[in-house]
Amino acid sequence: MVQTLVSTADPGTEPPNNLMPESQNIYRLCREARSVAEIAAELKIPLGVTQVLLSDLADQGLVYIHPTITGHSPSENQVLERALRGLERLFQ
Amino acid sequence: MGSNVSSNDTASMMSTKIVIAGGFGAGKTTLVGSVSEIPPVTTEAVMTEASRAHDDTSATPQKVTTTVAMDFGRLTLDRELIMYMFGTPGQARFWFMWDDLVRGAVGAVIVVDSRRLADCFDAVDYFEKNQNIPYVIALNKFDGQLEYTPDEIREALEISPDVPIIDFDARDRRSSGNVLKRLLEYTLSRPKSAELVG
Ligand SMILES: Nc1nc2c(ncn2[C@@H]2O[C@H](COP(=O)(O)OP(=O)(O)OP(=O)(O)O)[C@@H](O)[C@H]2O)c(=O)[nH]1
Ligand SMILES: [Mg+2]
Repeated sequence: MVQTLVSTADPGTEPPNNLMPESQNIYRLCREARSVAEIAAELKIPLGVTQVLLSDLADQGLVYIHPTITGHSPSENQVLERALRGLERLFQ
Repeated sequence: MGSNVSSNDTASMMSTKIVIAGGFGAGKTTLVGSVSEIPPVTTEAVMTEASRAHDDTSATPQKVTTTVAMDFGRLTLDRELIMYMFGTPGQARFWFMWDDLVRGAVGAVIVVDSRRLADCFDAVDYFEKNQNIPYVIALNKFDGQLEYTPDEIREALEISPDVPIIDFDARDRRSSGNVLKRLLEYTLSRPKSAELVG
């Protein structure tokens, strides 16, 4: 999904040089967690292409795909409550 | 941005998303810009749409590719939780794109320009039909005064009785932030059911 966060699995390292240049750029960019949408915007790669490159990188264990919270299960309520408290802090 | 984020911190980060919809020029980009901690980014998304069921006789499924602009903004809500806002064009011809954007959203805001109600018919219709995404109406009062009362708007747009209608000014950070708070409160107040995953 466009909001999903991605991190490089081993952020201290250089990308394997058998990767395509676009994938190497993703590898470097995601040393700090980024959303799929940000990666696409920053590297100017179409969203659909970015998603394909990311899932290939994830299959190779080179990037880590973070969980997303959709609020559709009761167990996610806790996280939504944290989100609400965060908003209350920011916009009191 | 610290460069020494330990991998533990990074690994526990989670993200969530809300969608900002609404009519042409209603104030979507302004809303995202008012609350986002990064300058709102407008990105071109290339979306592929499987062709709708036409009555043409060819059996080959066709794909249509469209480029559309979407805005996004970010809010860091706590050390491990980021919320993204995605602003999207409101016209029905972009619905195929909404399906992608809306998937996994915790909720949606429909920005309504109170002088041009008809512009958000499509957006309201979409979210009334997709009952699993909670939405609120944010009424942008362009001239400082509303042409209609919230009740009149609810009736005109056929908005469900429980959907909050909130007056706001998209240019104002607190006012825009309040809309996001109300959305989350509303999301949390709705009954949850496991079958709504999707
Ligand atoms: N007076 C006034 N102007 C506003 C308000 N909100 C937005 N605007 C202005 O209205 C114009 C349209 O706002 P946008 O945020 O660009 O609207 P949008 O929904 O993103 O528009 P599109 O992406 O073109 O559909 C901009 O020039 C804003 O500065 C408001 O509350 N009052
Ligand atoms: Mg806009």
